[in-house]
Amino acid sequence: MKNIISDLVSLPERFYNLKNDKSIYALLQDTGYFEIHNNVKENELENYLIQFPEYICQWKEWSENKRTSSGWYFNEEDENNYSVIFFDLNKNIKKNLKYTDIIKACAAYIKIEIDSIRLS
Amino acid sequence: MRRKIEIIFLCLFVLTMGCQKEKLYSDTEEDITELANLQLVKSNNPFVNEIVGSKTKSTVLNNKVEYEHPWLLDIEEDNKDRVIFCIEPDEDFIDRKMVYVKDGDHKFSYIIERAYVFSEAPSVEDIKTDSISTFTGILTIYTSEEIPVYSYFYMKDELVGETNFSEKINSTKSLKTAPIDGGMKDEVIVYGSKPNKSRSSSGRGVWFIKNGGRSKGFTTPSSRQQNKKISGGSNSKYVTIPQRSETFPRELQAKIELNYLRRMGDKDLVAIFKALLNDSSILEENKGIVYIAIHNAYNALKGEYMMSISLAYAEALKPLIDIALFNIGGKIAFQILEPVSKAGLISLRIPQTNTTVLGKYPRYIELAAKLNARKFNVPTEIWNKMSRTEQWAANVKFLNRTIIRGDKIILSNPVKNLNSVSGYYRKELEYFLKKGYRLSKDGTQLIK
Repeated sequence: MKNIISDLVSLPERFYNLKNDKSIYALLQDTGYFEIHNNVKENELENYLIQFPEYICQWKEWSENKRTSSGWYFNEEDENNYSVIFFDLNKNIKKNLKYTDIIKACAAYIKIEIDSIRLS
Repeated sequence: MRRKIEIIFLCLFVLTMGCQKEKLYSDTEEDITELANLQLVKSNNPFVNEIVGSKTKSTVLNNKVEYEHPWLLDIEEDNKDRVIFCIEPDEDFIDRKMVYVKDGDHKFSYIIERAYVFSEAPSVEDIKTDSISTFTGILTIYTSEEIPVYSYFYMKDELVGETNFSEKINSTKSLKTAPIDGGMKDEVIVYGSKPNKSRSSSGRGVWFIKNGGRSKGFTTPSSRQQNKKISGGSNSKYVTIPQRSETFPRELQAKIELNYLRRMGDKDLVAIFKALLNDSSILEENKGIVYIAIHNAYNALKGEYMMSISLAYAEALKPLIDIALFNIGGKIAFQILEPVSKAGLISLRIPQTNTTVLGKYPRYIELAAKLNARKFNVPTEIWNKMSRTEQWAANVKFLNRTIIRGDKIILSNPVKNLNSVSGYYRKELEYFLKKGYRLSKDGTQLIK
């Protein structure tokens, strides 16, 4: 399980690696997440991020790099307020999950984002 | 000789029809370039949305082609997916496709006239709809007056050039093919003559593309297709069906006669139009005739009936939107959409097209929507299945188009120092800086 958590958290890093020519969907599929998605919990991602907080910036950038009409994004409102928001311009929908801890927020974003990719 | 006569007959027909259409849209005051950017926004009507969002309609509309997913998607700028439908092959082209651009899940930004596509496939049935790698051809966007506004030239899915027509330009010299990243490829030669309204009221020019030694020209409809056309128009006493259309029920023809319609009340008109369009005895291919007949009737009667005829027309045409899009062509589809829109059943909006917004997600999308401006976005399910290289390539296409258009570039996230930005946003900015743009003092724009 530890390996898959590491693979999941490092998805943006691996996607933007110059040698990579796979889609995020394919990379996620390669991790084996599709088969065990129900068993991967936010707290496991959170524990990994505590050890490797440098991934938080990567996920934030991942969120900003989207060029889609809808999707989840990770927003840092101020130093103590973070949110994970679903945006859909066409349907005018916004779901807003609020956090005061950046690590918890990022873990929630990762989980919700990878599930969104899995279902895309 | 017979062929020549057919062509002459067709030209006369096109002239007649074109004149009628011009008259129909003579009260349209919108700027020609804006007309090309009309967007069909998500309707409040679930039925219209179902059609617009449908992915299985071609099974209904073309009995020979049973595509579960007829949509061929090519990622393009502005979240516009190129959607290609196969329609009837004609004698000059192995396959013939209608192409229009789908914007997001429920929007159409451009409705494009038929594109003529080269294919090695021996028949329409053999065309693999899940393949998007072989689109070579010209996409032309027409206004409702049938005047071409833009033509895009594609070689194997690659945009290799585009032409921006201007209404005021009248000579062949006006053909400008804008090079993109290295210019036109050597093997693509574009021939053409500027559409001349005085000679052909349809506004159609003759454009064709020579590809690897094979060249095909814009062609006139076959005689079989001519037979489907309908005579008569706004000034005719009757709207009639051509004699040669043997499959068209005569009793229905009588119902389309203007004098018959004149005797009807407002509600009856709706009922008649609907009944005609939904009549199960009418073959699918003849629905086009019904539409054109109703269109002519509408054209002739609208002065007499004022809004009621428009509403009847629009109401009746709702179920026909997909048929028009698939079987008739984008240009006529526009004619359908416009009255449907005017009747409030769907809405058309004209975006501010000279502005493009760049920035971080999702702010740039929100700002673009607010300004009614262009933005680059791709459906999520496609974006997630693109590699980093593919994502950037699609983005660059959009950026190039922005440069060619000379758009004003607004930044949703102001930038004073490039080093403070990262990711795709930075790459986008760097791309423009390399092309001679600079950041405005307040960091909210890119300036040439």
